[in-house]
Amino acid sequence: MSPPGLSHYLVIGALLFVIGMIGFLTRRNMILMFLNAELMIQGVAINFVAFARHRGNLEGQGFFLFLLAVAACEAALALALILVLYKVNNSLDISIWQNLREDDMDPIVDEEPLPAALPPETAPKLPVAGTEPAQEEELSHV
Amino acid sequence: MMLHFAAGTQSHHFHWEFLFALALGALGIYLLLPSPKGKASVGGSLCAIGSLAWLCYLGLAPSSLLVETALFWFFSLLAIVGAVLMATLTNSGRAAICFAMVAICVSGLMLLLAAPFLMAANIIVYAGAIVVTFLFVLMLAQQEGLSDADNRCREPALACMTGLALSASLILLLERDHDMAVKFLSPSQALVAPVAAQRAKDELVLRRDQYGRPTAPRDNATFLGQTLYTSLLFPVELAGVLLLVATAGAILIAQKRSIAEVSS
Repeated sequence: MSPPGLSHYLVIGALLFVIGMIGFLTRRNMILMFLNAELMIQGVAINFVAFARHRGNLEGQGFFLFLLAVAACEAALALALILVLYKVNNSLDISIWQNLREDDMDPIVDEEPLPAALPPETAPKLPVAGTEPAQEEELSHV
Repeated sequence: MMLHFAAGTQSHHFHWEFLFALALGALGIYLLLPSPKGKASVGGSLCAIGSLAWLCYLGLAPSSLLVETALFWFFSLLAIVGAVLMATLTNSGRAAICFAMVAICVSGLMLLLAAPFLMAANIIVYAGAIVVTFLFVLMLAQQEGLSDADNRCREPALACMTGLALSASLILLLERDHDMAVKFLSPSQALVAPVAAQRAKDELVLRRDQYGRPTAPRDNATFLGQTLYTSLLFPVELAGVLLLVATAGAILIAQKRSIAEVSS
């Protein structure tokens, strides 16, 4: 009979970190990349708080507050940058910026075409549910 | 050196099942990631769910019916599922909502770790402020239909293998150094025994609970504030300066006028 221990929390933190890392490496939408970075920060936060519990002091919790401050700064700056980059190209795709790569690197070209766009959803046509009742003309005016 | 290392690894019994479960999870994420061919949702979900169930089976502590244990499994499973969904969904708005779910579950874990103030701070800052800001930017940078940004991936196979390598090494290391079912070490077992002994005189540590864990202070916010404004005072000031600079920078970056116009 024992509650979950330190290593359980560390494993959860590690898994969140790794999933965030996979998302950050693969996704091409800039907003999603930064959401995944925030996910990695959440994984690290679990580690800090779990170690604070393990040691029985509050330094780890204090550190998490600084992590929170840095994450808020990061989100504000990153989103401002994303807005500026979006205005330049009208796209959130990060691969557009691959012309900033080194000279000797080959560009990444998307070979496979995207599937044809889905047809727009059409709203169902409803039968007329009722008619407007006839209104009597008002005879008296105040 | 190599021989010694090999002998060391052989003498210890690794739980290789963790590796296979993680590999199954990586395969699931690989299948779930968006691709122009259309993602294999069914197979990917099955792999991911199977991997999660396997990991739960392997990591299940000596079964106990404590409320804490049940809440731990609830929050952590929901957090991992939300994280996988967030990393793989093509719709960014839904991904942001999934991130809010992950943040709330992490806050629940913090509550289990005796940090109620941090739970509130995490919900307010992450599930509140950051997700709302992300949704605002999504609204401003809206894209219609399929796009390169949402329906393509960079190197999904390599990224999943990197993730597998990192998570497997972390978990196998944890598995070797701490038994998965280990409790929080009591201060006499841990390396921090002198520190803990000194702390025991302090008000911060009251006593140990029945599992040998050092008891966290009852009034979390009070003692956290005390820590922040005594031993961590200088970092607090630095964090304030950092926030101010970031605010100014974000305003300067996001506005339409160029820097030359502003300075003139």
